[in-house]
Amino acid sequence: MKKSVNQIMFAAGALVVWEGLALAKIWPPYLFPTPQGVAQSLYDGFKDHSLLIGIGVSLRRVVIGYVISVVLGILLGMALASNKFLEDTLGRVILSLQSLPSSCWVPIALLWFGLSETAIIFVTITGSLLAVTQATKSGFDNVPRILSMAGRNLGAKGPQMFWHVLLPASLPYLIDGLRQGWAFAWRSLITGEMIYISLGLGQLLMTGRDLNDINLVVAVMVLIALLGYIVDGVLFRKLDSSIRQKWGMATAATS
Amino acid sequence: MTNYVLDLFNRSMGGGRVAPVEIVEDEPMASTKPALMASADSGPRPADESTGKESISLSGVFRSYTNSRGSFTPALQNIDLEIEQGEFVCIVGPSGCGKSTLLHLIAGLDRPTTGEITVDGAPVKGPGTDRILLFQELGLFPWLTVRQNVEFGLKMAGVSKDERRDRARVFLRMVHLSHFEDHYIHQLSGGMKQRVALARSLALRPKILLMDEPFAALDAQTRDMLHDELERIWKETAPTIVFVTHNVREAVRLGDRVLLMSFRPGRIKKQFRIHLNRPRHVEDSDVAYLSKEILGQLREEIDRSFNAEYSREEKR
Repeated sequence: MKKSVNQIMFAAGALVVWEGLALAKIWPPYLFPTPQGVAQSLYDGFKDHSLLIGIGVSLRRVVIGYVISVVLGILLGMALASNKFLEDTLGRVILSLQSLPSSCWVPIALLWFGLSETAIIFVTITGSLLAVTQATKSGFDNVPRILSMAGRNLGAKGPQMFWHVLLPASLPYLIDGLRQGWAFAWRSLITGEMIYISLGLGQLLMTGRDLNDINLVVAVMVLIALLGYIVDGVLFRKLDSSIRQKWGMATAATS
Repeated sequence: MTNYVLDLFNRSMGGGRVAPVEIVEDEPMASTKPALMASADSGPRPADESTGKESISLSGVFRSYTNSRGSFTPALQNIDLEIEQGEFVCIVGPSGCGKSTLLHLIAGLDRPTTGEITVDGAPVKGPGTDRILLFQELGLFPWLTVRQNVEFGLKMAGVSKDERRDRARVFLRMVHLSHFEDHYIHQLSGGMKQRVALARSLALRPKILLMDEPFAALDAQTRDMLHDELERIWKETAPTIVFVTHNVREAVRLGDRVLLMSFRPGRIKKQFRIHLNRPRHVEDSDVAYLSKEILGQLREEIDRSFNAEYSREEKR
């Protein structure tokens, strides 16, 4: 209760400061957005459907890219966790590639796939695939030895071991990885969408820049942050805390 | 020597290959009248009905470990041991004597470096559900309810859903957890978790139950209660039990036979046959008296190992 009061107070305060700075006209209005301007941009954008289309297109892409990342990432992570040779070789490569920001993948995406939908999805995947892979691997590595021993002891073999012991035991870590993968996918998507006229939110950002419309730029940024937060903060956090609760892990999530 | 302890062969502690421990073929337990008789006996024990057929047999078992830096640690040395069907054997020894290793070897979760282990005459090649190990850390599955945990082994064995549930309920009743079947593990107390682990093991009807310091982390009252339950369940289901503990009183309270192991490398130093009537209690004076004797020997072993460690430190 107190928390939400604090949050509302903070938001109100921030708006007042923002409005004050805008009214002070320290910076020219085409460089510094105003709260009303941003609200107007959002209103206009939803009214002429450009924002709705942007959201729809972007969400569709991110879902495609993310699903591919999750499937490949889990398979790859499992392979790395179960094979020492792969871990020492491919695992190291993946670790080093993880330090590449997704914008580094834009040139290669353009060369391979041209100005296309595929190029954008490729960039999205490069962002999240490695994060999911890494989290899956550490999830399986972190399965307490006692649980796998207990499983073997009680007669679990091969695939049974995987489905009934290793997978559920690593689920709390997997959720972490899926959550991280989502955040990376969302960010990389926006990068990818800035490549060309693509209808997505990333492209709307570039439109704002081209039109010198600072209010539109900020409005789209607010939207991107909001959508990312809704999925992460609402969907994943719920999933995460319910799993942690069921697994009996100390839950740090305060909501 | 007291007449209710048959102190069996004392192993020579000299270097080199030592003679295997031999068990004196003493009279069948039922006919041995303990001098200190506890109150009315409560009927025959599974061990009394045993045909003397051996259940577990270890011969010349060595187990050593080499760590990543190449240093060599012998964990078990020259273990020769015969355990009869339905026997309740307790193993005591200083920590690091390889007690747990011994259980893992019998369970097939670990392999001996050399030597042979057979169960019912067949060599142990890997884990099998005829031998269930109760881990000290339990290893209960936190994502499953109490009943699902108990059903786990049955599910792996392909038992149908209805039968699984029925059988799980039988064993949950046996450990008095019927009202908790839909709880998750973290919602239970330590003693209850212990009983879930016991029910989970029993549900597979193993011929051999291997228990690795199962009650070490519990408070004394809970432990006493679980001793009674374990003894009762042992009478009802008649498995062979190998029970590792560092608590000598617990060993005397529960065992038909107590094995004393030496510090690293682990060897069976002495064996004691316990001819006290059941049910026993840890507070019984006879149990206390026997424990004191065994504890004396155990202390000696702990001191010896301590000195050995100490002198090794000095040499460095």
